[in-house]
Amino acid sequence: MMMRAHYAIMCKAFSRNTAYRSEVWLRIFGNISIVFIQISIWKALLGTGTLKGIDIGAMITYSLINMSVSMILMSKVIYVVDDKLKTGNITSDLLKPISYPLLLFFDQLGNVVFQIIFTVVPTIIISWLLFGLSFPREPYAIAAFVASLLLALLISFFLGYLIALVSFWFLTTFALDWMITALITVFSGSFLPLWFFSAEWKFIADMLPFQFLGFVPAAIYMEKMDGSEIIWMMGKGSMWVLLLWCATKLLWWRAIKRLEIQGG
Amino acid sequence: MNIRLFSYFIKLIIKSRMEYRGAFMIGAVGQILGYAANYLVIWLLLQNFDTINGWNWTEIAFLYSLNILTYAIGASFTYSPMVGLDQTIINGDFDKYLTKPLSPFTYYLASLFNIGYIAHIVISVFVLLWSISQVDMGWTAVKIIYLFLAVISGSFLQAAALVVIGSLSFTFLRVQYLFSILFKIKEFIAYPISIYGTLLQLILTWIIPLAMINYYPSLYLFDESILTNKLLGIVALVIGPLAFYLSYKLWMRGANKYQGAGG
Repeated sequence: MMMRAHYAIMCKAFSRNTAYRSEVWLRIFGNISIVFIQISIWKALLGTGTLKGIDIGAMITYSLINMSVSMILMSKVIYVVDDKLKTGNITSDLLKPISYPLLLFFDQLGNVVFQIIFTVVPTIIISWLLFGLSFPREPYAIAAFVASLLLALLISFFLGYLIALVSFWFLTTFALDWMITALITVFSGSFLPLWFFSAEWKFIADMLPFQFLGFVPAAIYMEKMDGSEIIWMMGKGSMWVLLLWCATKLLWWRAIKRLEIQGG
Repeated sequence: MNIRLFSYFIKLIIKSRMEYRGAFMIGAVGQILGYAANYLVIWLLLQNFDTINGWNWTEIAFLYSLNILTYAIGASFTYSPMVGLDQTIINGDFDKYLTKPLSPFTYYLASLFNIGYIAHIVISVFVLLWSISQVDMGWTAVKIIYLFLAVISGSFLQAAALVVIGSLSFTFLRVQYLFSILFKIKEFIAYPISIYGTLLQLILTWIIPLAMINYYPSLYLFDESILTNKLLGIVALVIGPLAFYLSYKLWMRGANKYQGAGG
């Protein structure tokens, strides 16, 4: 029964997206432009050479995987929660016999499924034909890649949700979103891989959860991580999910109390 | 609408925004951090490679800042009115801009001036001045005037791009995705366009002349002894105001058509 409700929420979000399907081609065009720009930069920088064992072919795959991962991140959930908290529309969601974060997650998942089918897959196919793309050979890498995508989904979701709850107190969603986007820009490695970071910057990136939103899935896909490294990363990513989940739980509980006091 | 009335509108908008000074400041800090992150990524990149096609970190920082600064100035005047135009038309709120004894274009722009770009301006001017202090450009009075004019022309060009897409709202009603395409295309000039193929360079110079915003002015300032740098550098000063004038004409045509349709 519960699973059916979640599935229905997902389908509803999916069909909401189909209203904008005419924009899909333009989105694909935009994505390919960005990948093209990144490839041009790497061509200018690397030429026919390599740096730390990375050549232009590897960077093409890296850029494309990162573009695709960025399309399925859920950190923009911040605006959904923010809107509902400020308008008070959240009350109707709270009346539903379903946990609020789960409702939100499946709603976002509907968006993600839409993005994958209508944006990510076409972007990958067209870019593959235009620029080339390499595929993982080892089955374990494919399995680990899928798992790392799941971690990326969960971590981006909880980050966005956490920021939304924080902004409930400070009413600064916009500024917090800029800050979190700034951190993702640098530390997810989505443009500049963590391989090219100096020791100090690599250390900071390792302390933060953002590398799971770009670098880690791409590195696994490209088979640049061995078995033990993958297991260590998966464990670390799961710890982040747990930590962020607890933090949102705590903040949610406080926010709801405040909402009741204010009379909703 | 004269300049005095225009600046009076802007003064009122600034005053009303400053009612919420705290939220405004936090927003500005967030934006500055956002841009600092973009600079940081390029800096980290150039720790590995020293130059991109012969452009070192300070030169890239100059190029990048010129783009942000001109965008911030242009967008202060045009972003909110142009991005909001399709919704304003759909809601039927556009009529009030046509029923005043003022030019609808200037009145619409003035009433939606956005002070929020001050953060962009602060960080880009800061990095611009820093990069100028690092690169030896052999400053002359001509060059100083050139930089000043290049910023004005670039701002006009950035504004023109927004106005052109905004004016399409009159015909197509929904144009939001065209704005997101514009912002993606503008990423092309975040780096020296010499990294792209010849065809794309020609497009970015003559068809969608975004390279006139920052690339050619930078080339002129770094080395004006090369003839093509000099010529294109001068073209860059003309093309901004020209593009803005044409976009204004296009917008007014759209606005007149809207009137004719009876709203």
